[in-house]
Amino acid sequence: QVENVKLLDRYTNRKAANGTLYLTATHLIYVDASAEVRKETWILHHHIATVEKLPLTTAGYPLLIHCKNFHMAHFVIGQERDCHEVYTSLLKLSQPVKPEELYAFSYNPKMSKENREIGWKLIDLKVDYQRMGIPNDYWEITDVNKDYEVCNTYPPEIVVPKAANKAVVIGSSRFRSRGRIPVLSYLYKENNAAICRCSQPLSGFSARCLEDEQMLQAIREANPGSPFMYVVDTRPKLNAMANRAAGKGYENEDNYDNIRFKFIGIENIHVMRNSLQKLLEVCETKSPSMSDFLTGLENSGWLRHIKAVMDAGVFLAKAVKDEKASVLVHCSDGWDRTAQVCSLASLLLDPFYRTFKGFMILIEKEWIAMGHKFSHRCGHLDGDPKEVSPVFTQFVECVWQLMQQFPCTFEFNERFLLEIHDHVYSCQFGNFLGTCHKEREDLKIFEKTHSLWPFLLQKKQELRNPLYRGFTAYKELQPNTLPFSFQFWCGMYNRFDKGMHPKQCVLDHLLSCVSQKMKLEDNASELE
Amino acid sequence: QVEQVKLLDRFSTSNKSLTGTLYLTATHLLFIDSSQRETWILHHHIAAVEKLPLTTSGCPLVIQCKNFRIVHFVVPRERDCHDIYNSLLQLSRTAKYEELYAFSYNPKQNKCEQVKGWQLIDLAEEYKRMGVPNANWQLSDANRDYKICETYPRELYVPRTASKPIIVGSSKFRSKGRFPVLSYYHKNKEAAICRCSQPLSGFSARCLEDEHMLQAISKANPSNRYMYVMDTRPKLNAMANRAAGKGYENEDNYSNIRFQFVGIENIHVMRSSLQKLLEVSGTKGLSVNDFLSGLENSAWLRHIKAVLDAAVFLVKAIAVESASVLVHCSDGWDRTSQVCSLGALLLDSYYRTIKGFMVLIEKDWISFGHKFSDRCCQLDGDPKEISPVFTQFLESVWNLTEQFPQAFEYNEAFLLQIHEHVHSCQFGNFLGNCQKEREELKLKEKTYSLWPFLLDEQKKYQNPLYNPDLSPELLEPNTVSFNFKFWRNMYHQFDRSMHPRQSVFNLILNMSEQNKQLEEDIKELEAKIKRRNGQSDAVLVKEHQQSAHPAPMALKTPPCFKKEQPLIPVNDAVRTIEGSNTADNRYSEFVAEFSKAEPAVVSLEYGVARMTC
Repeated sequence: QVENVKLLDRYTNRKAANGTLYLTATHLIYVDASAEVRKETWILHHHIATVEKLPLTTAGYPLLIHCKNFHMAHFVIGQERDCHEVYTSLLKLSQPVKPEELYAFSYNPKMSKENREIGWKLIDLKVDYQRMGIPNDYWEITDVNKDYEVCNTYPPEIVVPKAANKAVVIGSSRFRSRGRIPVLSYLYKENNAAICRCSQPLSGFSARCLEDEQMLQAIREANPGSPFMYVVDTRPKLNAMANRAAGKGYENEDNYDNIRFKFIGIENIHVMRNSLQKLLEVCETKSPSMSDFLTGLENSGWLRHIKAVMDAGVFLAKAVKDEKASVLVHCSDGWDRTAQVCSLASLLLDPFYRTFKGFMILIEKEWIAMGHKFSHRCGHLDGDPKEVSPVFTQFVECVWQLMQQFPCTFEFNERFLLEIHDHVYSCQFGNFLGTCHKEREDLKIFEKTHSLWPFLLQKKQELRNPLYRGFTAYKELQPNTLPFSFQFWCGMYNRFDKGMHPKQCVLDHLLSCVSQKMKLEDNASELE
Repeated sequence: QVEQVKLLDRFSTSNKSLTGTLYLTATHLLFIDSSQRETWILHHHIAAVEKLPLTTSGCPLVIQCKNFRIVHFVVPRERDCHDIYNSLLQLSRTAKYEELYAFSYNPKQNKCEQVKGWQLIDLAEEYKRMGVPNANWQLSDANRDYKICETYPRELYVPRTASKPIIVGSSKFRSKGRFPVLSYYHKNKEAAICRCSQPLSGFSARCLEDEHMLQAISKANPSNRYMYVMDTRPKLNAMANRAAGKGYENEDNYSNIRFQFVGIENIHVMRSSLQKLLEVSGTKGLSVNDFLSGLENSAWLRHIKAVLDAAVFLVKAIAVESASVLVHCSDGWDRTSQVCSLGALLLDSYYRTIKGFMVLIEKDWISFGHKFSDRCCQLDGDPKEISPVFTQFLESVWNLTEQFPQAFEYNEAFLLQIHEHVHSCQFGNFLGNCQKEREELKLKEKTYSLWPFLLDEQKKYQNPLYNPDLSPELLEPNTVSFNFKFWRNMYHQFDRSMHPRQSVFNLILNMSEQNKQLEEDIKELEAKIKRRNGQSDAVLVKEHQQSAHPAPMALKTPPCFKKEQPLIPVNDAVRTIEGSNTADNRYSEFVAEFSKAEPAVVSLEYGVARMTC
């Protein structure tokens, strides 16, 4: 506990607040003493990305904290010893080494064991496959990966074409990076076109694999409506070619029957990490001039990357809906760009994924189950900083950009996205811990921690979109991807800079409008 | 009339086109496509017509409009194309005022309505609303015959202590005779916004009367000793003007003034900035990087920010320091109009109503002589006089509506419609360059006023989120760069494919209307109940008060839904009454309709996650 600490506001030059800093086991808490109303700022240790000591100023020792949810706090502490102590303890607390130290394992929301189990069962992927009509004549749920023998980063239950027998599956898995074979991600029921995902083939310059070729053929034949299928490599062509030298690479159109091969050119995790870094630097500039802001935004390339992801999603959706062709998507390992593109395409094609429940299922299916390495990408544990990358953040931003274009099609609002984004980093719930399903089982996540989704559903009232027109109002979305349609997301990257936002919140107004309406209706029915 | 003409879409990559027939009328260019959809283009809106090199499908003709519509026709025969080209060139460039659309436009109004329409906006009334004339300010008749300043209106408000010789002397020392006059008076602070043109000070000239004039303005504000003089030009430009015998006020010669440059660029810079912006936004197959760097290069948003920053400075001087401000630029009709009108808009919520905005435009733009005719190129004239000064004003207002979505009674469509008509020359309001010219043209007799027409379709222009009770009188916008956005609906108003696919406007409107309807229905029901059951009056009235206006309460502190929820009283006394008359049936239908649209109420327990940690 340190008293007499000042919290500086990032943009306004108002007088700094004076207050007390508390360090608890899980949070850093700042209590503003000067305000009449008790104002508290809570910062979860897991959210802290970096802590920085700045050179001494006249007011004291400045301490700058950057959070993973783009919160930035600038404290000024009176005494050097205090400052140093806070600094070192934060450093220690913000970088846990063992998974068991994560908040989720100690978090106890006073919930009975049964309720917790029910919470974990809330999202059942089998139900979603059933919704798509699987199993059917062409697709089946196989338990070939029951003991993680085929692929240890895939879940135990995967969906493959019925025509692909065990030998084909295993053969194909040997020819794919990390054994991530082509599996179904989404089936568009209306024309049987499917979106499948996998990792890059180990083709090098000339290698081929009959089972893998049979696998792709099986996928194509599972969609009798189309004579060909797309194979989409979401990497830039140059990167994919470079991978050939390492014995990996991409499919050769001559070896596979009737495939149409296409590069889409989304950059890799390192480029994305740097891009976000640049974007945040722009956000942090104190009152940038108009030109600085625009040049900075352009230089960061962030919106260009968002557009690339969106374009890829749109391409997939068009191929499935308009050309009735199945699509196989991969990148390098098939857990970053592939997850972005597949989930975005499903979101565009299926209104179910635009509801609360559907969006949860989408994240559980394409991201969590299929092994997006949340733990590494979000830096949950002290690890390789080169593995950190805002891949999931980009997906969330793409959804937000869609919301701007289609304000009435999503059941949830911006806050829901922010809430999910927060909890991906907070490690408060078990869902996003670890890197794959196997690891989560090993960590006993399902026994020891809680699931995020029931907590979000409880808050439904403030997370809903008051303008939602219902499930059936809109089917497939065809977003516009001209550059004009992409905006800087102030609500995400400058969320905690209160002065930056519109002074009046439309969302609050509309929400209260809706609740007022319900109340009036209640009132009226009582009167009757 | 030309048949088999194709209309190309500007952005779609698929080269899809509509085929139809092109008609030329006296006032419009009309395109009707095969599915009978009509595209009307007013000749006055046409900024440029261009013939492109012949292609295989025909002769392309590109028409750029002043309201940022761009249409791309392909005419099969070259002769037709040439004919259209020539006639459009002729029709779009009018040499005389009398040929403008406004003089032939006949909206079936009788004489009386026409006169009434012109009387709708009464500036004398407006000054009365502000609280002038009063002890310090009076109406001056010095310019009654336009003898002192041709470009000012007849009726001007000046400090009471400024005698006629001072006015005349001051006007001789000001460019174009535009001496300092009142633009807006802030009743509570007793501070004033005044406007004028640059002084003819050169390097050392001074004028006692002008100094007296400023002193009079300063003294007319009893709450503050000093006043601000804002020169809205960049310092360099103002200094350069000194060589031509113009310039800016010397702080040493005037007592108690604080002089300030705010650096808004001139009309030529703005014109080329817009030009660049349009080039960027018109590019086909633009990448995100090209767009952003193009946006930056055009500097358009930087200029918008400069204008708003100036207005914010002005407002702070008045609201915080209670000081009067005198604003000028070069001639005091471009940047000065922008800054004064935006300042007033921020200070006074009246200007954020539909009627008030009309008054503001009439006052600070039309009557004070913003040269609409020259700036919007209504007549064939000097292209160097054209500049999007008024467009910038509208864009600044739009930016404010984005920051304060509940503070404005009007919506984006209203701003766009005004912009449309500034260029359309369909109504008399914006014709000519100043009041004198308008009187000579006999506009009030020969043309119609725009405002009554806008008021008639008021519903279209209302902002469903408008809530004056929740909006502060004084707006304090944030002018950090992040807050300025490209105004897609202005510059791509006619590119349908670019707009959000879903219009929220109607939904919100419905929502608030349903709420109102519900409230009324409840009132009605309660009244009925009251009549039948006179005893439980007291309870009912109380309940009624709670239910009628819960919205403001909920809004100030959104989390208080929680507190409010228990307020819904379960009033058994009321429930016992079962009236099954016709009105009630209608009502239950109503309810049924809603319950379909809205999911059931979910308990409002707050996030356990955050509260327990």
